[in-house]
Amino acid sequence: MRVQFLQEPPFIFYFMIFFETLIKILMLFLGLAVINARNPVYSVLSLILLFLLSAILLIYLGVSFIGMVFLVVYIGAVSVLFLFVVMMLNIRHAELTSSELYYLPVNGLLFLIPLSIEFYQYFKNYSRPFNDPDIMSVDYLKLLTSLPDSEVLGAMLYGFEFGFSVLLAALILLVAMIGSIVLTQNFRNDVKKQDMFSQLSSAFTTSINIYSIKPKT
Amino acid sequence: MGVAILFLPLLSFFLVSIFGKIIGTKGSCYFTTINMFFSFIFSAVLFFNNYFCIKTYTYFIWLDSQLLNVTWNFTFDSLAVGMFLVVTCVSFFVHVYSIEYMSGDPHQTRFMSYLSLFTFFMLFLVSAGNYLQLFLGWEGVGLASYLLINFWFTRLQANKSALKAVFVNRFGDFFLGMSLIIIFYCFKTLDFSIIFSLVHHFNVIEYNFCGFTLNLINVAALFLFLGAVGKSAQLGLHTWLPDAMEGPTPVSALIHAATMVTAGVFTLIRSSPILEYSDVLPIIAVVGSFTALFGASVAVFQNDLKKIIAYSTCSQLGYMIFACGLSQYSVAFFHLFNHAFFKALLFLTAGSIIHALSDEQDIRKMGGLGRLLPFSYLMFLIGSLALAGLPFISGFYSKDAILELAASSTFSYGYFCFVMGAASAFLTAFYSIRTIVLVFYVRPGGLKSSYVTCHEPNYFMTLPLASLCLLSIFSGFIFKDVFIGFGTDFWINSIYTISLNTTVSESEFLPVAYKLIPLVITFLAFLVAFLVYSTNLYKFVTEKLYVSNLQFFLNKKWYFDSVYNYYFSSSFYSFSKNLMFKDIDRGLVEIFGSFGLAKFSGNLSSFVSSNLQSGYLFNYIQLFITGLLVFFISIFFYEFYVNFELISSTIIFYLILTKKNNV
Amino acid sequence: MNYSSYALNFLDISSCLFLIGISGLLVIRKSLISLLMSLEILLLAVNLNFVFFSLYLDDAVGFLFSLMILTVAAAESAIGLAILVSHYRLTGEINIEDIKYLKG
Repeated sequence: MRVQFLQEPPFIFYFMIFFETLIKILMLFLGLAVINARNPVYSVLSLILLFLLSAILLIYLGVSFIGMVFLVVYIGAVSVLFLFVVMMLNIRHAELTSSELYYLPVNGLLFLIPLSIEFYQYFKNYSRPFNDPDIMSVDYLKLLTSLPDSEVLGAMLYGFEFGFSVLLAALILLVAMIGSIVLTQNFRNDVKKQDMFSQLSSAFTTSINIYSIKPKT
Repeated sequence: MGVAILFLPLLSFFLVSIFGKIIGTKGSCYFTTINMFFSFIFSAVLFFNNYFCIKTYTYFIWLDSQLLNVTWNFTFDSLAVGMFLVVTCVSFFVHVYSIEYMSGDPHQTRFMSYLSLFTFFMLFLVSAGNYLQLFLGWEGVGLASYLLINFWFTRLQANKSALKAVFVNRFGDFFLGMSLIIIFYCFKTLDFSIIFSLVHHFNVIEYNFCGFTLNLINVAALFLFLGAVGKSAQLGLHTWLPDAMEGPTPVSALIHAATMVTAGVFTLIRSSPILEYSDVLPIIAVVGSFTALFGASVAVFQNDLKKIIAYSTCSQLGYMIFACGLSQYSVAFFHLFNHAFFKALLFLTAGSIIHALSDEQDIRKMGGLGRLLPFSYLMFLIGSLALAGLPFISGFYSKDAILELAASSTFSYGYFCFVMGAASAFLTAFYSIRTIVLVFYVRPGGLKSSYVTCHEPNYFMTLPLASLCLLSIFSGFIFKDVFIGFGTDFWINSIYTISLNTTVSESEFLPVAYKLIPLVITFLAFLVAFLVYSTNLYKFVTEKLYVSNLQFFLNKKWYFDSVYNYYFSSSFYSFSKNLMFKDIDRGLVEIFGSFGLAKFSGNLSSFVSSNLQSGYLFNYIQLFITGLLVFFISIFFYEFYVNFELISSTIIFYLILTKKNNV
Repeated sequence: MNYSSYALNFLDISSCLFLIGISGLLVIRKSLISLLMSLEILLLAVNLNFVFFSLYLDDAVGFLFSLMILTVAAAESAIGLAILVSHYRLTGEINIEDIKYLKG
């Protein structure tokens, strides 16, 4: 990776490069750790860290709203779900099975081909903010006419343009909630339960039958 | 009215075959007979009406595909109305006869309907206006003959004979079809009126076939003749005719005397323009004369009454064919006309004799019936004399005319035909008298029970016999001038003879010796036969070794049947069964046809689905990712050409890899 | 200062995370949970991709769609885990080799 400077950049740009590279390497290793960790708890922990790093990255890039949403939703909801499931279920340690080795060529191919294409495209064009010659001037017009990202998002979400998508997203969440409850319902037979509706709707006329019995002589 | 003649029998066939149970046996008999009577009346009227004009009716279109344009047209010209008269007359008499003859049979309704069907097809063939209709009638007649020969279908011999008739006729049909194709190729049409006016101009067309340059008219005429060989039982394809006697006697009278076997002769007469401009007339004449001799010689030593008459039919057909071969189409037709009547008479009389003796057909077991069945004796005698050509009975006019024309013909083969014809005239007379002697004169040779119960038939059977007898005596004299009279204008356009072949007046100036030869040898044959068979002379003659060899040779029909069986039958059978049926029909056609395709696609889909849809989650995940990556890679390669083999090879590669199902 | 094209530098981790997620789908070492977690990694990678491109193209639609993807990811992980739990209740374990209910 060659970095070209037209002028001598300020010191902060080196920090920026270091920060960005660090984040990238950490995310890469965390991603691998999610899959290959020995303990399921370790893999969930790596997942949480991955989400955290991506939130940091997004805030670093200036979109603070989306970063905070990542924090709240991804880490606060999804990872918690994973943690609950990992703790509830008894997950065994699995060794490398022979069938995985059998499928390794195919899977390796399926993984390596896009990777190589990706690297080929990556090394074709590599852009830096430093290639811009005018780096010391401030674009006041851009500053004045730009809105913060949360306001932009709010205008789009609750306006006419994408309001419908919000409703759909809400519907999806509703379905997910109902679905997860229904799927994990546990009907236990050995517990006494009360059926309130039938209790409240019992009346004199339906619950007592009067018979007249004559004794046999 | 002409079309009514055609469709009355068809109507009666349909109604009787569908509603036979409702109408009842007697009802169906009378219904078909009355329809046939009306056909006969109409055809007689038509015969007199059409003396001076030709009528052609064109109805709607049958085939209309660019060049081939076939309409339903019926032509009622002189030839057609002449044949109508013959066919309807004999058919009517046979219907009346079979009311009584088949009255004990539980399937009589079916029989009458089949007779009507056969008559319809024959009339259809005769009135055809184009070759395709003729072919349709031809095939229909073959079908009807199969149905009728196989009438008593529970009998094994009848089954075999019917199949034999169908197979041997099929040869002829194939040749006729080939000639149809060649005619169409040459003339681009199948219409009679167009073809016959154009033959003269097409005589020089050459066609290159496998290195041979052929004249197409020759080829077409040759194939037409081969078709006639099949249908009219000429030598080579004659083997079906004697075995067709397995059917009931009215069937033999109708089909194998008067109508179906004359379809071949009719076709040759109808195609006279084509034959005239071709070079196959010598072939026709020679084959016909050989057939005449063959039929007569084989009939000399046969022992079954109906077979004798069948071989005599074969021989007389040979006469007709070689008359056609000498370009004397009108005389051939006249002989056909007369022959129909006396042969039908002979067959029906034979039927009444057989009926009287409770189904005894072997003439060695008959004898002495002259006093017991005088009417049948009279009919048989008259029929035989007509057949033998006794002067001034009907057979004489046509048969001797043929022989005179053969003798006076300018062709080299004419004399040969005359000699063969004369020899077969001798043999004809010989076996006729032999039959009469053995059936009516000699000491009785059968069971006493059959002689005790023998009786003359009732009116239904005797009236047709009487009418046919009158016809067979007088038809020759009455119709002589119409058909073969000098300068007759009956055949306006139906028969064509090129001027080279016209030899009518030469026969008038023949030396008297040639005219008397047939007469003399007929009487000689009468004498010899009478002497040999009514005394014990024949025992003395036949016990000599060489005569018994000759007897065997002639009795076994010149060993034609054995030769055919030995050389051809088994090889044809194994060819058709092993190659055609097993290897092609059940092999090639099933593999490359719809059955194999269905099976292959079923197998392919089950292979694909059982390997793709293993049910394992993991395989499905692999599939998802594979599809996704194929999509991505194809986007990456958007500037290059992605071909079908790449994609299909990846899919097959994946399929083969996931054959093992455990993860 | 034009920071827009800076977001393009981060496309490599986005795609690497995507590929890691895919390899996690193919290589299921331990149990079915790792499959769901690799699905989460996939969705995260796609999310980041959308954000980076929306930063580069200066269009806010990318953010919006990233929010939608977030929604869907959360919903899908909830339902996936619910299915996992009920599968665990049905059989005593979550082993990916034994899942062949889709056969037929």
